[in-house]
Amino acid sequence: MSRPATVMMPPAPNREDIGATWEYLQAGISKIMINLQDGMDMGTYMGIYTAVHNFCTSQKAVGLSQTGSGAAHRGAHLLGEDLYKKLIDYLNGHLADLLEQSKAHAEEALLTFYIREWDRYTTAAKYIHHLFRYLNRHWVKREMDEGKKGTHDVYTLHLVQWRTQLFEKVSEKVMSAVLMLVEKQRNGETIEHGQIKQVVDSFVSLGLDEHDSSKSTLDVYRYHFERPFLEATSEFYAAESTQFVAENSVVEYMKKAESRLNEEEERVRMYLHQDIATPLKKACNKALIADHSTLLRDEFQILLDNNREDDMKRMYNLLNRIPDGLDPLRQKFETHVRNAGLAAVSKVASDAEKLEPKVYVDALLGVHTQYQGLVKRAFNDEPEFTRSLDNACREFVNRNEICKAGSNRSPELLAKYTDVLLRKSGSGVEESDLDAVLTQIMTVFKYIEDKDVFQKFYSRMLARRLVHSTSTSDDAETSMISKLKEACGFEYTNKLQRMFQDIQISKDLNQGFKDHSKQLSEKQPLDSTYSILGTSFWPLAPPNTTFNPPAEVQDDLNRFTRFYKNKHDGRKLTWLWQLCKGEVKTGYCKSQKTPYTLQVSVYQMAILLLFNDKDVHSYEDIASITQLAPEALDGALGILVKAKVLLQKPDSAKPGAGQTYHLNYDFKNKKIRINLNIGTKSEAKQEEVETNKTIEEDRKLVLQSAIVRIMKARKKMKYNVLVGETISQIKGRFVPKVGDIKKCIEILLDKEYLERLDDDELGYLA
Amino acid sequence: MSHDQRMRFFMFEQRGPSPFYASGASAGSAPTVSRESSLLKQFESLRVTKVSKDAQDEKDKIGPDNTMKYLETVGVNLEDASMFIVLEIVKAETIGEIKKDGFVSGWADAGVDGNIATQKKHVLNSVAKLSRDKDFFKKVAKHAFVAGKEPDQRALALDNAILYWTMLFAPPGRPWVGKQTGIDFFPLWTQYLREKWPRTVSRDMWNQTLLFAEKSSEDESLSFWDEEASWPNVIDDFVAWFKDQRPQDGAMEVDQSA
Repeated sequence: MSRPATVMMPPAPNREDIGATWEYLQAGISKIMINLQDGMDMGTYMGIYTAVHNFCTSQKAVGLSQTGSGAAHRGAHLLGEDLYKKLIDYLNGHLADLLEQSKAHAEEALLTFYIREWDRYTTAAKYIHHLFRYLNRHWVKREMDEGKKGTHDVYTLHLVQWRTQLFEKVSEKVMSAVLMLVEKQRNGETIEHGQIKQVVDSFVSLGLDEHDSSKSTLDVYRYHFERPFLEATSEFYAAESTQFVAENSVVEYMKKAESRLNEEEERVRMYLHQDIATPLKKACNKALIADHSTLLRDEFQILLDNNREDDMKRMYNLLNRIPDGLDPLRQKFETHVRNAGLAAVSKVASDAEKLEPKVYVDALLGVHTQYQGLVKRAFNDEPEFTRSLDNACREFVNRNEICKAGSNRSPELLAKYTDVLLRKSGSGVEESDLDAVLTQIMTVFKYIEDKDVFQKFYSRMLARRLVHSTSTSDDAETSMISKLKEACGFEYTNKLQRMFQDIQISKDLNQGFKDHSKQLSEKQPLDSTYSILGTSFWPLAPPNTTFNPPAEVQDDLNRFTRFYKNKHDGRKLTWLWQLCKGEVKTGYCKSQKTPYTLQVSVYQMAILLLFNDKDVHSYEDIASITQLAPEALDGALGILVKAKVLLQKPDSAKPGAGQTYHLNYDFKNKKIRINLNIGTKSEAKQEEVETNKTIEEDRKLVLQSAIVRIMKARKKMKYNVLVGETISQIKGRFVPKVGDIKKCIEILLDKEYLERLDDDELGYLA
Repeated sequence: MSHDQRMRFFMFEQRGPSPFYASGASAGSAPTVSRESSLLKQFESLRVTKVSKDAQDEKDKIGPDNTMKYLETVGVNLEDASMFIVLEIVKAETIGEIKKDGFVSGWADAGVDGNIATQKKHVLNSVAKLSRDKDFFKKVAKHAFVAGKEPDQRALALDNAILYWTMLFAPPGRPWVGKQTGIDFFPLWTQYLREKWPRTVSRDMWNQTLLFAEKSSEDESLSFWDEEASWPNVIDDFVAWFKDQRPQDGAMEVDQSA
């Protein structure tokens, strides 16, 4: 060390002797600066303080740097400046000394040296700042008040001098030592990171606001520390990652990158300034992720194919860190899910005609469930990924191999599966699980574009369940209707709800009718139930045959009709004979003591009851008494003959004129109750065809009424806006074609509901 | 108190425009009143003229024979577009009949007295204007639909529509001909309709055809047409059909020049 071990204080100077006073002060400053650790007595401290005061207030400032005696009258002002300059000279000398010494050190030793001297220097600066309080309060304050730049309070002066005289000359070397240390740590060595933290603090302290010394800025730190640090980091990871991916799999690389990113975050917390967190993250993201993003994305398909959920999650987290990093992933994901859906459908589509609704719906659901799970677990349940999933599902639900045969197949099969679930003895699904399965149905339903088709099939099947009382439970029916209502609104389920209500109301009505019959104390030979169905709510048509009900039930029918008319005057009732049914007991069978109960349609009943009078009837007689049209009559007879309740003579394939029917006294069956009221397959097929046929016609009406509704509300509208608005109103039901909308607008123009105005605008005509 | 005092009397007051006080450019001024009375007088003179014993005109109407005669008197050629000029002025709702209201208020609005010579002069000027003024042409042609269709029907039979278009799209009307190449659209339009349009012509189709004729005459490349725009289907299909025909036209032109 070139510096003296101790500094001897000269005797206290005469207050008039400026030269001696400065000598005294300099010795004091040196003592503080160099060996403060030896302590300082109160006398010296006070002596220095007084000397500063004396120096500044001395009237006989002679022999100093001031030129001419004419300056003397400026007194303390000028003397303060002298003292300030002398202090600067002293500091510069000290710092030049340190700069010389620093040259002997390198790397870690340089860091140790820098930190030690920094500590010593700043500690001394605090003391000297206090001792020079008089200067600060008067001369410095005045200079600053006058707006003189480059004049600082004594402590700040120390920092400024450190920066200009030492820091700017050594900072690069110090920084390279820091970076070397960090690189060592990144390579797995243990380092003493406290040193780096101190260097950081020192760099930060040197950031002084030129305009307001009470504030600090990070400019110095950013330029001298952050900038090189980030450069080194980018370089390091560029090199490391390039080498790593060349030697390892992408999956391994992702793990490596992940741990590196965590490390860097930890580094900021441990010993870096918080200010670097964001740019450091950005630099790492670029070097570790963005520069390899193509490689990562190329791997995504492989991960999807092998269902590597953890790796996909890792990839998601990595690519999520860079801007637009996930878009290509979402696209790939969407395509993948769509293909998976199409493949699942193809697998079950081998025999499209016989396809079980459940098998089809399960195939759709399976894919959705799988990838929804993936989105949840690997992609953070992110809305964008959910949207990709939804897009993919909508595609494969509405356009797949099964739908090729007819675009209505998806909603039709879904409605049929719902029917299976809601019908008694249909599915084998426990009632407690039913609601969960219905919720799954709704998952598929949400993707169905042709919701109107689903509605058609659903309402037909609901009608059948209600008419034949084959619903599993009222609760399940209501639950399903409210689910549909939630998804599509009141209008969508209005008719379904009314159908359901009709049946409930009919129950009460029947109770009333029974009470009424009892009051009349009439004998009631018939155990009858009547259902009143609102014409406009039910997808049912009146019977396409005439019918003369058997005398045995006619009384009851008349009584009920009177009862109902009395209650609701003016309502028109039409019998839906084709839906009516009943039970008859056989009292004639030779082989059986307990009579058989035959469950029959009302047509079959009318035929059978004829045999109470006679054992043989001709086809023509039956036709004329029952008044049934051949089609209905042949169907009813056919089943009775097939079940051998009646015997047809001469025996031939089909009922018809010229044949006679004989009651079969030898009728035998294993069961006591026999259901003969069965529809034929061709009838079911027929119904399906009809349902599909009405869809196109209905859509035109729906479109027209939507257009009229919009125009009624808006009165005037641009053609294109009207088309757009119509699409958005309708698309919840089905996806309308622009051409169809155009045709409907033309129809409305021709019907003069609308008129053309200027400039492609349409007007509403009330 | 007599019972009468409780009674209240109601009378209709006609507030709408009466034929005697028709709205118009010079409504309310004395000359208008005299113009209308002159028109009324003229109308009655046209009406009572007996052509034969059977053809007695109804009240307030001029029947077919007298209408035709009148049209010829004011200088109209019954076989060209000029006929529709007068039918439009007098607001005829069918070709063979003129009603009093329409006759009086129509000529009054046009600022013309009940005088054959003045009316003839007005018609002559209008005929000259027909091919020059596209808005005037459209007004006349639009009314042709109103006058041309059967009163109880909404639409025009295709044959009639083509007949009236033939009159309108020929001098002194506005031929439907491209400005640059001189392509004659109208025969193509009729050919297309006869082949592909087995239906009637609605008011909208009629009006849109006029608009399409106007635009395609100015821009025969049909660049103004846009599938997304509100042109009726029949015009969309015509454009597609027309574009299919174009290459052939081009080939023929090359043949001619070769």
